[in-house]
Amino acid sequence: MLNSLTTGFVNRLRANDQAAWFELWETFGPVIRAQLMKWGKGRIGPETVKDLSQETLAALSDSIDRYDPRKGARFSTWLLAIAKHVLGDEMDRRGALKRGSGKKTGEFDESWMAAARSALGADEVYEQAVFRAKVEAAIRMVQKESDFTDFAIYSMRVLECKPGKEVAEALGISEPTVSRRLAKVRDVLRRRLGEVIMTYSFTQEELTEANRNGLDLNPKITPGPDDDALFDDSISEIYHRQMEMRRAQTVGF
Amino acid sequence: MSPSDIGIGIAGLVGVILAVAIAVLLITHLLVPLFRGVAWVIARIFHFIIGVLADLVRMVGAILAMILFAPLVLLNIVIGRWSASAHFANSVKGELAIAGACLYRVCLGHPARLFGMNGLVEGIEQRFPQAVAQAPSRDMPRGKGNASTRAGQFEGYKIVGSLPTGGSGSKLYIAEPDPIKRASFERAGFRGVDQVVIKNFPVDDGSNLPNIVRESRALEAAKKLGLVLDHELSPAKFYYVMRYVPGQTLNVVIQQMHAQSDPNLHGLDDRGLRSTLGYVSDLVEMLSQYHQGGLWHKDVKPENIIVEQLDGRPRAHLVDFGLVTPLRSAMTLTTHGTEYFRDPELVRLALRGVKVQEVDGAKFDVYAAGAVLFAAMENSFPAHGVLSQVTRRSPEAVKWIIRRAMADYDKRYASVAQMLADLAVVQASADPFALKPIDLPSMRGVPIEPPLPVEHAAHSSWPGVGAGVGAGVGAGARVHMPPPLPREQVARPADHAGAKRARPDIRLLNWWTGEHVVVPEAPQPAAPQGESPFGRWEQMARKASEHVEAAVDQAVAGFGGANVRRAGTHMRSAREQVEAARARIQAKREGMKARRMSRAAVPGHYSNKPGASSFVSSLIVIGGFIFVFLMVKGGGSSRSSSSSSTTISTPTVAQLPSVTRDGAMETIRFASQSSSEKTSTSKSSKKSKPSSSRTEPAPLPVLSSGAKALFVSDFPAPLSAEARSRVERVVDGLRKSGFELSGDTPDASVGDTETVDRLAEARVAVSGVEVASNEFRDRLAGWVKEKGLDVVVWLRPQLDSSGKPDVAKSPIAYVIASDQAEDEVRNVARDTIAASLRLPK
Repeated sequence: MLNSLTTGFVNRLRANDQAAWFELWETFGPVIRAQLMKWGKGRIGPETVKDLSQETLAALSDSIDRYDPRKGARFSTWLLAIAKHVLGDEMDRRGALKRGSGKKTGEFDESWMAAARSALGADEVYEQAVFRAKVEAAIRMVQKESDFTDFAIYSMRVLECKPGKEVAEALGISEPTVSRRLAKVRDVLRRRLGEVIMTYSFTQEELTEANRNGLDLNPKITPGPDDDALFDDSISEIYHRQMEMRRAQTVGF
Repeated sequence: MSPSDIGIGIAGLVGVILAVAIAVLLITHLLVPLFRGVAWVIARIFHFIIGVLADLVRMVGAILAMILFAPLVLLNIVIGRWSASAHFANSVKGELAIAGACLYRVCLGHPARLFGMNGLVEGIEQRFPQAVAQAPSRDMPRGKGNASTRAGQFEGYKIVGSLPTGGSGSKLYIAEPDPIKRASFERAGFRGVDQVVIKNFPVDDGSNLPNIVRESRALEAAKKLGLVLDHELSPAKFYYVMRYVPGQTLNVVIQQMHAQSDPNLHGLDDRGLRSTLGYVSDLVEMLSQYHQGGLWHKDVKPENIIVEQLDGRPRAHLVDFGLVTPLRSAMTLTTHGTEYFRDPELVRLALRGVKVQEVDGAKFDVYAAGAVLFAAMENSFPAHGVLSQVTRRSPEAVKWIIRRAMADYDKRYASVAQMLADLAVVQASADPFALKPIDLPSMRGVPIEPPLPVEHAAHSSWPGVGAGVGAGVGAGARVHMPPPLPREQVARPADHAGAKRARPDIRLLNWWTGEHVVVPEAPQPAAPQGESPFGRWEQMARKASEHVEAAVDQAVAGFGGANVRRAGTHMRSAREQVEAARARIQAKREGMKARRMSRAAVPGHYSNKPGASSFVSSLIVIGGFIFVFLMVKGGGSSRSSSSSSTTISTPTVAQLPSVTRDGAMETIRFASQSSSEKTSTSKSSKKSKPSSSRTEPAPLPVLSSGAKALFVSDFPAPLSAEARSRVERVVDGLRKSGFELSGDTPDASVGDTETVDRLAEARVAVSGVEVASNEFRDRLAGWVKEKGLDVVVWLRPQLDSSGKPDVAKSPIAYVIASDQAEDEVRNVARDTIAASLRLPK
């Protein structure tokens, strides 16, 4: 059963709401690019990866009306299948060009895709990347929503792992103020993360991903220091993993 | 059991515990890392073997393909199919490249990685392909004829080299101007132009019309800033000429700086840091010049920044103005730019169809400048946008500057001047690493106002640097844009003492309201050393305030009056004024009576004979009584005799609006009369139409229940003082009348994307339709209904004879109501606007 946020988002996509498509691109674009780079390593260049990731979204826009989440498929898995198809088309086209135009198109060989799988398996790695992308989208939302200094404090404290005292000295404020502002941003992040996960999650399994990754979105009414510390640690770890993935992409580009 | 046995038992137990603890420690601290190390080595070896095998197989495959393609090449040559032969030859070339790459990886790439020597192959795998990709194209433009005729394609220039082509399909050539051209440059104020860069757009060789149109549009803007020396635009060809200075792109310089730094530092060394801050300061200074000139670069990135050695000191120059856009352009935003250096918000706004003039384009340049600083510190792209973190060695203050510059649209530096002030503080610091964000001017709330906008003459704003520029063509040479102003002339807080600013002159526009403009005057000597960086601006503001005060005081004195009220003071109501007039007349009457009585009381002057004086006195008394009677009876309705003084004390606009209704739209229009005309003609019009020349400010109507309204203003941004005054009056009036107003209100935040979105939708709804036409009315009425609004108020300035907005004239207001809105909403909006625009300023 889809929640209202998810349904609304899919409806916005179907209504060709450009803001929704940009949102989707901002969230899933890097993941798709990373996956295409991984599959096409040594065969396609960075520019082709960019083109193919855009073609993936173009193909998605053609088939968004046919997506039926009631069948149990994750949206991200469906997106991955489209990306795989787009990449297959590209390799097929290249093969046909090599054999000379006008000749019979060769059969596409997908065996090389399997070779790119890591020990975890491509799908699992991909789904983890998708989850990290959701967390990043939530952090981005919080950054937009928060006061500049509040988010700077959160960034220095959680994402850069600086001690509270150092942050307080750098900004000329007291440590209790740092803690108070940090808590304010953390609360907003909990709420936004819940919304993002609700928006981009299409199966029941996806909804439980946050808890499995140490992100308790519904803590007891007054979360204790341990809850907050665990939440911050998890965010920091997910964020740094996501940053590593982006960095790997920029090296490629 | 004896005590000795117990002791032995305890000792044994302790020994066992110790042994277990040591074993655990050994396992966790030695064996686990050891096993991890072994696993790492095995994984590397495994990757090496797999990689080598895969590349060997691929190389064999490529060689086999080559063997298959080669006979096809020969066969097609034999049968005369040249195109097919070229096609297969290209395939052979591709396979050869693949085989070569595989051979390289097998022989060097994989072994180097196996032994952890990634740095060994970095240059070959990353910098070499980059240099090859950036290599210049052919040195001569494509064309028929010999070399001399080809060189003649650009009359007055001799081509001596070429540069890498840009993304617009243009070709870049280095050329030397002939003596005639050089003399013409000298006359135009461009001295020492030894070499130039010609950007040519060959329609038959890669360029297309949209690019040419876009560049030619940017050309006008660039000429304004003196960036372009010469150009030719004709149906046959399009090229323009810029000054040339050799140098390397900033991304190459960044890579070199990081390569030269001590690897243990994990980032730039102190020298590299200083250089980087200098380059970024140069960049920001140049951006400041662009913004003052009313332009927005839009494509700031390391590849577009050239580092040049000028008098032994490296300086950064911003190049490539292919996307330069006027800040007030009425065109829709485009998504042009370079990913990672382009604000994602720009893309969002562009997708919504927001126009350039509806945003502050300068802020997108601020973002790009922050991204360049990030790239320089990190030697990588800011892939996370605003969430990107600097992980390499960097002062906390620099991280803060990056964070602030790349923050959200409404949270980042308001102008490049603020960013420059922060950078200057870091540069001036003896130890940038000791500096904290709180030490930066932007954090301490130091007010930084951008310099006054200046008109850029082609040759005066950009002092030439050609004299000090080498004439050689370096390998990494690029097109050069005008350099930043010399440091001593650039208005920057750090070296303010050398700066020279224009002293403002205050020109009073309206003595009543105190409205004024600041006009730059002759330059003044520089501020003394040790003065506050922004002291001059404070002085200017104080002087401006004093000038206004003095002008208003003078005006008050000139009109004699206690009766004349200054702006901001309480203005009496009409009833109070009438009562005051009655009191004055009564006082005069009492005075006359007293004087008469005093004369009558003088002894020896009494006579019963009526004389001439008695007759004249009687006439005066009777006339006085008649006058008093008329004044008292007339009340506040007529002021014909004393209009000259009372008009000043209670100024009213000698205009009544004409309101026309056309279906869902009401148009409120005043006579096309400017405020200055109104002042000069008010007296004469009062004589002829005394009853219409004075209108009391009627109380604004108020809605019985609230209504949602969108306010759209077509006044050009930024609003002039007069336009702002008019808009504020209308907006305030509507709010006081109970409207929930959004849109182009002066207090609206530019970062309010919902409002920007709604405004853009409204404009899109009536795009291409003539304002005030039936279609305009119908479309907007439909849109208002669709969006759940009650009314749209569209304020348009009247146009002068040249078709430009004339803000001195009363604007025309259109009120378009949803057909579901009650008549009351429409009437209140109409009456409020009419009353607001009629109110004295």
